Amino acid sequence: MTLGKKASAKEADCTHYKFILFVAGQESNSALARQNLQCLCQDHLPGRHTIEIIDVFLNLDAAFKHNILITPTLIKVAPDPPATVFGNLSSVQTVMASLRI
Amino acid sequence: MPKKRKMELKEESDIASTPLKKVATGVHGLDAVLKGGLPAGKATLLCGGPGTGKSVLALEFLYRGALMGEPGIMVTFEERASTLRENAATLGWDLAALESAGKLFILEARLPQRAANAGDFNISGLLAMIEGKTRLMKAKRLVIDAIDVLMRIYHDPHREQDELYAINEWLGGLGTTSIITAKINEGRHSSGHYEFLHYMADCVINLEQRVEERIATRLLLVVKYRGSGFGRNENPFIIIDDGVKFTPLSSTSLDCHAQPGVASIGHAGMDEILGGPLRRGTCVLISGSTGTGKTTIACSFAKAASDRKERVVYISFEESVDTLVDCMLSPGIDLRPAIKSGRLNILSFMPEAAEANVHLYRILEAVYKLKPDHVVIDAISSSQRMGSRQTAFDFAIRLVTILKAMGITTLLTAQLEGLGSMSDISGINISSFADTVVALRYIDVGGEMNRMMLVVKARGRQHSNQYREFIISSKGFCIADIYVGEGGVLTGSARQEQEMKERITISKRRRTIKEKEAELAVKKAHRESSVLALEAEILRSELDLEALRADDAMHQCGREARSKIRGSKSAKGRRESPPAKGGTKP
Repeated sequence: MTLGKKASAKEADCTHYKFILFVAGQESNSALARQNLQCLCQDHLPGRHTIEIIDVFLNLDAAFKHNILITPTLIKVAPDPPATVFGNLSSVQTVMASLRI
Repeated sequence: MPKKRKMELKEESDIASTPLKKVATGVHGLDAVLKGGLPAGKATLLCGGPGTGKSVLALEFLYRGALMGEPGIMVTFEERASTLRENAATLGWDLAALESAGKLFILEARLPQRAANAGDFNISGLLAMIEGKTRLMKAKRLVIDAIDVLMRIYHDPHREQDELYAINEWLGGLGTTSIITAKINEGRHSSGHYEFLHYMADCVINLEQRVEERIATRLLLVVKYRGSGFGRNENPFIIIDDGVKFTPLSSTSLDCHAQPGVASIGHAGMDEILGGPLRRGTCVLISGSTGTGKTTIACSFAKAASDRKERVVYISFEESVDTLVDCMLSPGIDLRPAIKSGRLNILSFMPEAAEANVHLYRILEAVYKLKPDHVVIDAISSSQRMGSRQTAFDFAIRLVTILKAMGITTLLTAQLEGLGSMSDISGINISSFADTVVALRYIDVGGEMNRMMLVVKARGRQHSNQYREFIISSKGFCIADIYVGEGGVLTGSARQEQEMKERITISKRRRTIKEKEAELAVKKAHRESSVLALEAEILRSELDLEALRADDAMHQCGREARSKIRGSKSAKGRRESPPAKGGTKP
């Protein structure tokens, strides 16, 4: 969230990341994924990320739209290419690699 | 996996503990197999290998439901919705129309292919979508095709087991009547963790495709049905015309319309040796080698029935309709008026053209449509050409059982291999369930082949136990009086020869009698004439004697006169005595 760290990052790092995280209410994996994503973004994408959290139980249309069968599911909307990661995001390495951060 | 769902479903209370409620699938014949349908509000596991028809059967369950006003949801993991719609269109099902009417929803649940897995997860999203749609559409039916694809995302057998258990619980709460399909590769025995599904589900149905003699047969077996009776046998089915078709043996929908009573086989002589006309609703088997006259009898029966204003469906596996009609003109059986009247329907099928169950379905469709009093199958043994011997036997059993239940008289012809063999009367061992069995065979006598007929059995009838000669002429067929002599039964020219000999013997004997009679008459006449001659002689002797006596009397008189003249005793007494003497016999 702070702009100070931006200077230490590389040139390409000015890209803004946009995520949608689909969760299933307060269920444990969903809660964990929320937490993990927030930590990851704070650590690696400070100040240049947007996270939208959608509860499939409350927003069914969005779930249908994105064909969310598995929760939690993380979708990287921007930048291109789009990517999808599912699971509670506890494996930071996998998440980083998949999202090309 | 969420053990507690946020969305509790009110339908749960609907699943009462009363005797098992069932939901009719609407699939042709399946509800009879399931004795009503699938368990209402519960999940049924539909297992089977590739190509066994799981998806089609499951989809038809939804399709028929939608048509009956029960909305349904199809969750497909492998096929795209568009592919499903296209496949359904080949069966004439318009899924798109049902979808836009809100009666059907296809949830294309393709799992993310290139998505990375970063930690533990579950399928709440999917379940939420299904639940949401179920409430929205007021869905009553649900299909998950296939559960094994879904479970593949876990890569852990133990986890799969837990998830399956959770899904089953969740389905129970959902309140829909559900079909969960699962692939099972090795025959009917499921492997590993899917076996667990069998214990869990209330109803388990296995589908199998068996290839015998290069012909594949689809079979359905109800493995388990909690709280309901079910048939233990395999039910063959086909996918034809507009869907999946079963022809179960026990079907309550069959309406009997044939009247009780009897029906002539079309020939008085044959009725007689059968111990009377055929009882309606029974099964007659006419068996024999090629050319023994089976079809002639069958056609004669069909024609006679039509003449009595009864309806006949004639299934010809041997000849085309035209050929059959033409051939029957030779023995003087003209089927054309019967066909024209609409009472005789000849359907010609090529046995090899389809598997036995397709033929069975086609025949029964014709029977349901035409509602005949009698059905002729010429020849039932052709069913061997639809597959194996077992296939043929099953086909025949099913067909005859169903027709019998409908009260239809069935006449089967069966062609035997070889010319004289009688070891197997039907060729496919079906003679035991026929009520009447007539065997036709050739007999080789004096350089010729002649036809013989024997009534092997006629249940509940006093039938002839003798071989008869069966003669086909241009005036139909006739059954010759049997020649029973010292040489046994004779046929053809041998019989004629024997009959000639018999006639000669008889006339010879008659002639001898006449001769003897004449001789006797001569003797009698002879005796008469002898008597007359003797009487004449007697008469002559009497006359002689009288003449002698007269002489004697005259001689006496002369002496008396002389002595009177000489003056001897009283003359009065002497004078009177000669007339008294003449009155008495000498």
